[in-house]
Amino acid sequence: MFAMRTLSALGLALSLGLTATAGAETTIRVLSDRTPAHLESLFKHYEQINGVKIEAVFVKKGLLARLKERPTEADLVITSTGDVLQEAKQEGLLRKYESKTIDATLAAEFRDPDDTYVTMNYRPRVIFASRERVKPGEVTGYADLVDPKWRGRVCVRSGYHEYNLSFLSQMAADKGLDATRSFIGGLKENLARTPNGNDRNQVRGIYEGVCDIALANSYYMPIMMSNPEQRPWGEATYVIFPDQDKGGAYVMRGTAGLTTAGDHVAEATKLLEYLVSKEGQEFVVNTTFEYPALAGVALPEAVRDLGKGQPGIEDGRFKARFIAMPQVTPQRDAVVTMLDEINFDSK
Amino acid sequence: MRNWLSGLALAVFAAPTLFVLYKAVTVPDLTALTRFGATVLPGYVGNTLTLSAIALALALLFGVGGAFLVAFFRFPGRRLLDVALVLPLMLPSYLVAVVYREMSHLHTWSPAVESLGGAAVILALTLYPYVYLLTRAAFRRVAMGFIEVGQSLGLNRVEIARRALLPLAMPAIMLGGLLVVVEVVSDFGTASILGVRTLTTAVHRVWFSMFDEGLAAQVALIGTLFPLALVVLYGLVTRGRGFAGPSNRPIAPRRVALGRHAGRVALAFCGVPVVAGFVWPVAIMLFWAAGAFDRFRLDSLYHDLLHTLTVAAGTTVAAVAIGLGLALAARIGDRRAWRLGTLWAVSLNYVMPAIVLAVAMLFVSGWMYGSALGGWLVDSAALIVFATTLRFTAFAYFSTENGLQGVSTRVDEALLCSGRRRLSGLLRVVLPMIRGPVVVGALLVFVVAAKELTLGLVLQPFGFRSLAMSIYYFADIDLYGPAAIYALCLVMVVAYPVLSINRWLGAR
Repeated sequence: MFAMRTLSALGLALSLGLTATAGAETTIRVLSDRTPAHLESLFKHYEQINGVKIEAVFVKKGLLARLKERPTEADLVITSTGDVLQEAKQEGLLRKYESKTIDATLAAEFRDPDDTYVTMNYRPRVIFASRERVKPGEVTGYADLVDPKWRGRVCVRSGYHEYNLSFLSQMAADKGLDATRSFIGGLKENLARTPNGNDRNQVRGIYEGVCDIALANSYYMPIMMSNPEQRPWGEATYVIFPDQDKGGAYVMRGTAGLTTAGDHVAEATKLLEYLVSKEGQEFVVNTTFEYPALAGVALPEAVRDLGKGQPGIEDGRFKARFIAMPQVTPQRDAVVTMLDEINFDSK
Repeated sequence: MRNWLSGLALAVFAAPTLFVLYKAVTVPDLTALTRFGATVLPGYVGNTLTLSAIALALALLFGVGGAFLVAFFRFPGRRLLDVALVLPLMLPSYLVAVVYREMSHLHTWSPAVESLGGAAVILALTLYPYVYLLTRAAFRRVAMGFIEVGQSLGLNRVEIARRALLPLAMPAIMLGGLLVVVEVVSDFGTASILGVRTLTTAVHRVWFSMFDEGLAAQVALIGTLFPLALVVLYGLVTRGRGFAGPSNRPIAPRRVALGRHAGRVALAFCGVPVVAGFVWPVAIMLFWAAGAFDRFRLDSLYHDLLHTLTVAAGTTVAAVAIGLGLALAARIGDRRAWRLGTLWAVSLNYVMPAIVLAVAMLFVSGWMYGSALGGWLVDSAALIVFATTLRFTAFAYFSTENGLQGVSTRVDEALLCSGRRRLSGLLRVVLPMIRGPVVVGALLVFVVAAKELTLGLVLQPFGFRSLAMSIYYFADIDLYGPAAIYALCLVMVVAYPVLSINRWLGAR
């Protein structure tokens, strides 16, 4: 009797749930590997001003695999690194956008040469240093991360994380594989501990005294400063924009492009245009603390404070080294091979 | 007809494995695997084996030890511990890992857990209830009759325990241990949170960071070998052995009162895993949740809750129906090959890392997506229910099978003699006899399906989000307050099923 009751209750819950989840309307669908919080409020705003509905899935794992298997389920893809969309482009999973506005307003380095995706925003992979233990000017570039002077004093997340793979692939495209191999080897020598946790965890390592310098994306500083629990980690450190006199800092690109789905191309293009419009860019910059692709968009104060006191940095504006994406992704396999050979992730 | 139906079901169950096998063998050459084998693979294999071995040893210690103490002895707190020992089953391991990792960063007195040893302890703390539940049930089911037989033969208690009780409980202990090992080997969350590189974390990164499907499939298969070997071992050990008790009505064992000192030791022994695996993590989560409650919107919680209930309920209904059908078919068939085949096919999807099943399902969904019905299925929670059913039917099947082993074959013979049709006999006579194990299987499926994360993350339809997924998203960006609110909600969802499992398996 109990079993029957349980089963019928389960059946009821099931039918309720299925009706609740089914029933798609005509909407723009977005596939993204970004953190939901970064985009949800922007989408809500867009829905209100344009009267369309946006449905999004945030696939933190296997976005490319999903796009490959169901190429037309979404209209727009938004990713946290350009590498993924470059791969998608090579697999023929993206559609060329046709937009005079984008061509006219966005600088060339933020547009794919074949117009298949755009860079919406970007953030440099910077060096966080201890306020107590690292003097200003003592660390200036990526080369310092592998300087024997910092042996056992550097924190980095897993080498296989998307950010580090993109970073190392850019380095490989820029400086060659040999230089990259010696960088990975030197970095491993300098590690304070086995790579673990996210970027913020590395900065926290500085706060906890485990290490003196760490590699992480720039926006984590404003994010930490706005969170009462993490504020002390941010306050214990300062941001150094690397290689400002040697070509500039490598950046992670937040990118967006149209899929091959054919039903809502015009609406999706409009959304894409909005994402790189002044209003969209302001929204993105203020929620993510990243740098806008569109020129003339004001930076929030928390971003303007980055790199204060570092020579050449004014109001958080830094020199970036943009490596064209088509040159970056072919390096990925070689980079992974080197990480494996050096066994970077185990100390 | 019967064989056709079961055969079809088994084929569906075997399909994801065949997909992986196909991906693994169709790589043009073995360069990637060779390179992997010469560099990081041995380390991953070593980590996986060590992690499993330590977690298994600890889970057996907590599980069998706890079951033995609460089943056969009287000591202060025993009644409470009888129930409390099962509570850690409510918490997903990765959540407990997050709590301990955070505490170790905040307080010097909290032990450091970001290591292989730490991961093993946390996995053992959250997985030992499998061993505990099954072992205690076995003790209760068979114990008294054999204790009486042993006493009449003049054996002392230690000898009875060693020569009768432990061997009789062995299939249950092995099954519990098997579940622990499978969970440890296919675990992604705990290992990745604590920075332990296992074969399963390697599958994730090869698939999603290197986009190398062939190598990922190969590594996944290597990771599957170890638990699969244990499944075979389980099949061999339990094969042909009868575990029917001397009486059809279990009699609760009379408990021996422990002395004051021994009683305290027993209390401490059983209390440690409960406190470390449940009370402490939940207390911390309550604390975190309290801090975040004022800046939290409840409306998003409602949808996540509904989706979690949908997936858990749907999976339960499907898995129990299929598990029951397969177990009964295997009993009627009474062929060794058929039973072993079913055991294998059902176990495969559970033994493989969830991510492998998820990618196989992505492939299937891509193929279904073109048609109207297929499109609807992919766009609803049905695809996730399908995937979780494939993964967790093993629980329903094993539990039913276990129950059927306790039904003497004399019952079947009697049914045949009475001239009933076999199927109706099974349904009317045997099914009521195994009602307990079937319900336990159902409740277990509900609990694990409600906690399932990986399949949801990869296969989520538009507009779908479960409690487990929200916990993951918040924990991923270090927002532990909201994560704790969702986690406590998940605990409430599985609390009744977990306590109910405990009652069905003979807690007082």
